[in-house]
Amino acid sequence: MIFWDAQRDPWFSELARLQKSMNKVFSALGEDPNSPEFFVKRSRLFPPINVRKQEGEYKIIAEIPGVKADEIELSVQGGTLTIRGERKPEILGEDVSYHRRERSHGAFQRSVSLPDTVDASNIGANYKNGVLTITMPMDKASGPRKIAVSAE
Amino acid sequence: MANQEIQVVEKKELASDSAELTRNGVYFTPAVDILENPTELTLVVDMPGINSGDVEIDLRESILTIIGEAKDEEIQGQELLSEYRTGGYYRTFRVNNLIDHGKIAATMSDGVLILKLPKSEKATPRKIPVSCD
Repeated sequence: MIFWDAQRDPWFSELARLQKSMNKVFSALGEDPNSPEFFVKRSRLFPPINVRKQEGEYKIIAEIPGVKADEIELSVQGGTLTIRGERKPEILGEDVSYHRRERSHGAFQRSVSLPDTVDASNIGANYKNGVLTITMPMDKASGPRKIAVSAE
Repeated sequence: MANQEIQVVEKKELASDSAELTRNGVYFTPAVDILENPTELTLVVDMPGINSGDVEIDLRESILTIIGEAKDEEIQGQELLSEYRTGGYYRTFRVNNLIDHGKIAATMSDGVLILKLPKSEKATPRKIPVSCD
């Protein structure tokens, strides 16, 4: 955080005071505004997703390690994209004892409502190294269109 | 167990006071399952986004180190929603068992590393028959 000559200008000291009190509010909520986690939204649904908009397309990226590509079910219906699947426990033979079990498994389902500008018929998906990338091209026809006004 | 829903586990960034950190970038602690059977120790490590060629496994003096290097990816476009962060993975374990170093096998598929550490002959339990006269 930068404080330019905070003492000299009453405006700056006022801003600094404001910033301090905002930080207080955030830390009261248990969040540290200086941490890189601050801008990360916490998802309660698996998988957490990152959404990116770039030239002509939207991208949804999700980390789903340990699932086979053909076991991930993607569907679009009425402007809603649904990711569904199940992460199964690794089968590693009989007679094993677990020392540690941190990886969770089970079924998951998550839905995302798509903007109208997405061309739903051309959605593509790719799964590599446990990361699912869904590419959704923007519909070119949804750009601004001129509507002629006819005069009678 | 079949209908259980998977839980969201937040990625834990490597504590800055732990060793290493001579490298650049963000490192997370991967989730790990550790299993043992009479002949081998198996580690299952979640490392989504890491190519199998970018995984380093090192075992020396009973310290096992697993590093997954993230590819520097240029983020293009505009981030609309960010629910997780990306980066590499780093974790060390102290292995108490006697491991046969020559037979360590690692496979990686779908972002999951399975590391098999076979116990050396000395460490596997052996039954000794007791004969009676």
